[in-house]
Amino acid sequence: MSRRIGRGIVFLTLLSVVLLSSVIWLFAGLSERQNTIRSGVREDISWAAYQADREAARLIEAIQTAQIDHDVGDVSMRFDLLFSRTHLLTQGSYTEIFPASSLVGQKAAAANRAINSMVATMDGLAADPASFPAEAAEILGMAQAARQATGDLLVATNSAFNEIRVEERNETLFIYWRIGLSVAALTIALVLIVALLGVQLYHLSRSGREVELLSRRNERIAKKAKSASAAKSAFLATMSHEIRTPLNGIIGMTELLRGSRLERDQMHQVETIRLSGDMLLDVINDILDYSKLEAGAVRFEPIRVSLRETMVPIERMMSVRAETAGLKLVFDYPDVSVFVDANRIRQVLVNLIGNAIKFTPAGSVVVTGTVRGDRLKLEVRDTGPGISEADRQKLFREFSQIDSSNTRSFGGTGLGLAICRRLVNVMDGKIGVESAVGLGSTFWFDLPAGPVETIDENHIELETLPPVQLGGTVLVVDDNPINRDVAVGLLAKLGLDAVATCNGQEALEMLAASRFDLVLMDMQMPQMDGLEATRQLRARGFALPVVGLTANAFESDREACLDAGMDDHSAKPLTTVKLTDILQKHLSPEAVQLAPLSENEVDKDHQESLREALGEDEFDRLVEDFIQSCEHMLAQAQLALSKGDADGLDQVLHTLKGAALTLGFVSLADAAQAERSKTLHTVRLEDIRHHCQVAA
Amino acid sequence: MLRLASSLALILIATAPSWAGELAKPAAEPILKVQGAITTMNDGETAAFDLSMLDALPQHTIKATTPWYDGEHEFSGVVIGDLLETLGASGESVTVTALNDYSAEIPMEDIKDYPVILATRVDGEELSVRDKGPLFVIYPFDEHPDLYNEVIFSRSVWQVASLTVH
Repeated sequence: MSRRIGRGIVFLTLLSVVLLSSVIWLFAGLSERQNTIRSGVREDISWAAYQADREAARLIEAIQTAQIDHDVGDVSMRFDLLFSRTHLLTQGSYTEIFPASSLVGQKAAAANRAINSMVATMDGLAADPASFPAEAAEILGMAQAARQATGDLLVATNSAFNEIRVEERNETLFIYWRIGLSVAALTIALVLIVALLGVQLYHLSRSGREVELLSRRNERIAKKAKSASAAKSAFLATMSHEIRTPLNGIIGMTELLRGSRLERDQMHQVETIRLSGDMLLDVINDILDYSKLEAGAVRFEPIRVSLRETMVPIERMMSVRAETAGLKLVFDYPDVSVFVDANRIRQVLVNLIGNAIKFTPAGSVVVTGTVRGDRLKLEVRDTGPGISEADRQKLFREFSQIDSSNTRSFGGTGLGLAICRRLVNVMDGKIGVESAVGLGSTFWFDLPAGPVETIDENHIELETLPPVQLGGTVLVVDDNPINRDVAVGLLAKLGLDAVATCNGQEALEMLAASRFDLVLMDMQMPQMDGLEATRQLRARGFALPVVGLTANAFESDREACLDAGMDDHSAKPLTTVKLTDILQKHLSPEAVQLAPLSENEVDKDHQESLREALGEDEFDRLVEDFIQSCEHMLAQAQLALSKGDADGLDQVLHTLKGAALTLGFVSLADAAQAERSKTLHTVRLEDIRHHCQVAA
Repeated sequence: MLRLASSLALILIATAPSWAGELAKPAAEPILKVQGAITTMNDGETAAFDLSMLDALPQHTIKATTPWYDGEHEFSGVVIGDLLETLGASGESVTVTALNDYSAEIPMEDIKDYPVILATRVDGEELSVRDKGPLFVIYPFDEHPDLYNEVIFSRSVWQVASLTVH
């Protein structure tokens, strides 16, 4: 509509310009005519003709008078005056108006001829005035003929002029008409333009109002959508909390259960529970990550980090899984500092390595980092079954798993790679896979990491954790009794004193009452939540380390924790590994002391039954052998530990535990089992050695 | 002594080429008569001129295209302003009368503003009565194209016989 009006206005404007030009042109023409008249100014031809006729009459009069008084001079003068007229009729501007061919021209020529024919006679008369009486009649006759001619000329001129006047008037009238019409058309066009502009203005204001209404409506819809999205986020957070809390209990209790005395098949069952819990946690984490990515809530925050600092924790974390799966995990990367978001890289790498471990039945997983220019490329190469061309295309899609049949052999949400792809996209990178069936797969991602700087090898401070025995008193603040039990249990197992309380208010009171080395603080609690408790605690001048425990793994939670004055944050469920890391990082050196040794527990009943069955001597000999083999096994364990041979170590400790249980040395068996559940670098043999000595 | 002085004065008076109030009588047939508000006359109340008397006055030439001739022509003659000054004329206008009794009035402003001439010659040829002579009022159309209009044409009297200053 508006466009049609716009076109109409353009057309009318063009028309107006054309009309205006035509009016100007017509005016110019009129003015030109005026100029032509002015430039062709001439003595009125009628006047000239009339004068000629008058002079002819006067000549006749003079001749007639001369016939009486013989004044020939007057006759000559009159003739000369008449003669002077003849030239005017045939020269100058007169001929421009009436050419010789026109009737007036012909009449003028006739008058000229009549007058000219008298010249000879009149010249003769001037030379001899005495001849006048003889020639008077002839001269009079010629003069009368001339008068006749000038009379005819006068009549012809008059009628010709009337025609010209009418013609000119008509022409002028015609031009005036055209100008009038053009001006009228111009006026109409201008009125239409104004009208159309008005209509357009009206449309514009109306569509402006519509746009405003629309934008208001959109705002409302957006607000609604935003609140819906917020509700979804809140729901996810709640779900996450609700699912993780019991899961925390399951995993934590399993952890504790694993450390207790169990039959072999019971141990297997506990391991299965633990594994299932871990898998369930992975699924929940995937879904949470994905929904966050979906909501665009994931921010990309690159900082300068050393690649080694980023990779070492991943290596530590994933080697446990690789070992469990019987795979070799190799890391190879240059010592450089890069400008990346280490958390996101870790997330992607852990996912890719996790996949590689999950799908590779035997062999190795090799993680390679290469730097080209300002880009960092990370590859995860496995010796798995490989992926076919068709399957490769499905890989990075949401909720797609290669083996989506009912007989799925692998778990997972199918979101892992989709999350990786999105994360890499967020980091402005590329992700891909190269693979062939039977030849393994290489997943890679490539992202800007510049500027990349090489680290001088001399300055690398290898992160070596001093082998310390953990000790101290930890306050656990959590409203959930299961969580409290798990945390206290795990802490006790790690050799720390743990006290639990169920809300922030109580925690503050207890901190005021007695000395603690560390606080594990849950975020969501009734009465006073963890953040508020931490703020108050800091406000009251407590400087001891506080680590937040949340059911959520959201980055926002972590930021909230640090903002409130916490030193760190850990997502539930708590595991021995996580707890060990936290404690090692945050326990002050003074707090780190030798753990009070647990009571030397011996299964007296069991030993008694053995004595009865084997005899006192035999039993003593077995114990003696065991004590000796203990020393040997501890030496073997020490060797395996120093070589980093986790399998070897586990084998030795397993044997040691089995033997200790057989002979009823429960605390020794527990100690061995406790070390087995630790990751390689946290394994301490001193505890076992101590129990051995006690047993001896 | 007194006789000598008076005869010397007579000689001086007789030989003075132009003396205010004194104008020689025309030797030939006069072609122009000036009358009205003038102080110098030679024939009663009028000042009469023959061609040689007019020729003796300062001459001026106007080269112009006119409606009365084909193409451009050179008109020469005496400037009316000079002529009237010689005669001690004073007035608002000059009435120019032709042989055929046609007359037109020329305002004194025209004469003061423009070198309007009484042409005696066209292209060096004397003007005869048959060719709009003997005198033709010519405005300087060449220098002032805006003069090229009907009003000035009507003042461009030919076959001029007399001027009346008033």
